[in-house]
Amino acid sequence: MTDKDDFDLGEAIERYATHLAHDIKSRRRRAEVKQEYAEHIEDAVYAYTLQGFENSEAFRRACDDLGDATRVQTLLAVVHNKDRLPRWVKYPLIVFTAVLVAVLYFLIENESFRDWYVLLLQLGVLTLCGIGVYYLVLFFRAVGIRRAAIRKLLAYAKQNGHTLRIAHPYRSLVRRTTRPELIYEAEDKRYIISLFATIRKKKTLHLTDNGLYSYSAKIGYGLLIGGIQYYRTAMPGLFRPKNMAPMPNAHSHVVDLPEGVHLMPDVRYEEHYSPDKQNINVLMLNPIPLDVDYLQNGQLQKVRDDALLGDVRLWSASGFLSYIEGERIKKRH
Amino acid sequence: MKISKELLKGSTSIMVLKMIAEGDCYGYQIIQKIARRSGDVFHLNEGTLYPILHTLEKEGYLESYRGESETGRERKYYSITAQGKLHLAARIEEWCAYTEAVDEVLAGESV
Repeated sequence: MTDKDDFDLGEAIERYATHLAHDIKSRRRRAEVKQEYAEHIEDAVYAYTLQGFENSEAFRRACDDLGDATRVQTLLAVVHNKDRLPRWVKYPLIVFTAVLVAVLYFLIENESFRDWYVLLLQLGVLTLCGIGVYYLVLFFRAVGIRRAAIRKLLAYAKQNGHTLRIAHPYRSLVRRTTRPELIYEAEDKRYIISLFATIRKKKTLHLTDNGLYSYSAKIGYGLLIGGIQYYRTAMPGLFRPKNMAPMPNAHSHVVDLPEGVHLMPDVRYEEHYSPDKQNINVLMLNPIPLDVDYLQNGQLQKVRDDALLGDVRLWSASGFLSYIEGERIKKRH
Repeated sequence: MKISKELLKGSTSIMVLKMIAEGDCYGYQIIQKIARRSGDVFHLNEGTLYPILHTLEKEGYLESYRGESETGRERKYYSITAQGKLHLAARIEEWCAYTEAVDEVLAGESV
């Protein structure tokens, strides 16, 4: 649709409706809302053209009737960008997973079921790591949304010649504004107050949820780092260097320990071969502990990284990984 | 007479619900109905109507569907749910009590 001024009404409506729905995260909802606004503008333009206005003037009036676009964007974002996974699902899921991991940890002591429970334990740790990542993503998203909302608010104020009283915790914004002396004055100040109030109210995504996610970020980091550390110390096979020979079956070899030395019954071991083919016996730890235990002449001995016992060198998993990493660095230099 | 936004803010959603309760309508129709019914006293901010409609829909007071308008074009219609009717009734009762109380206060001693 064009008029004498070569004004493409269809394109203008499409563009403006897209602009209004811009801040809606969900693609499907964004498309629905955009279509609804486009249809509204069409109806308004039609009504104005019946009054004798040209398309371009009718479109301008229809957009004016919709009000400030920034405000509309923000209100739509508040309505449509709420967190999709409700809290009553998230928190029980975390608690359930933590309980599952704890129960499996105790069950893993039972030798006959060990392999199954090791697998389930791994799944539990992975789930916790996934939840940790989820919280981290939400945290950074909440930070981004809050910053975007504040930017829009400042843009609105600047556009309309308003100045804002910036209260804590937005004092840092003062340095970034072009008018450092902020005095509150505006005809429609209620809008500005309400937008700040909207940001502060518990019903919105912004500040309060950001506070929640600040706390959740710590949980997220902790879960993620804890999970990675678990795999590094308890599952050294996953981090085996490429030039290592394949691991033999853990139960098919007998370690030739010196007389008087006995391994603790709950310690599993595997045999790995170094690049120069010297035998190195690695003790794989049960989850979490870092020390290797063995009995020598009735005395409990602990190995932090490695210990030479006759022809056998006992390694802790973390000690062995550090050794391999060191060898790799030496080769490079 | 221009009505202050303060007064309008509290009554917009109840007016919107009422218009829809009288018959399914789409956004632009709601704006026109309210303006006509109020004798052009209320001119709702058209851009903020849809966040209100979407909020009411999310809360379960409205349902939406695609239907053909009187101009022959397809539009998104809203209809009120049973829950919406109950909510509207409660809000109207609240509003009547509020306006009656304000009237009583204002009808006091003349200034």
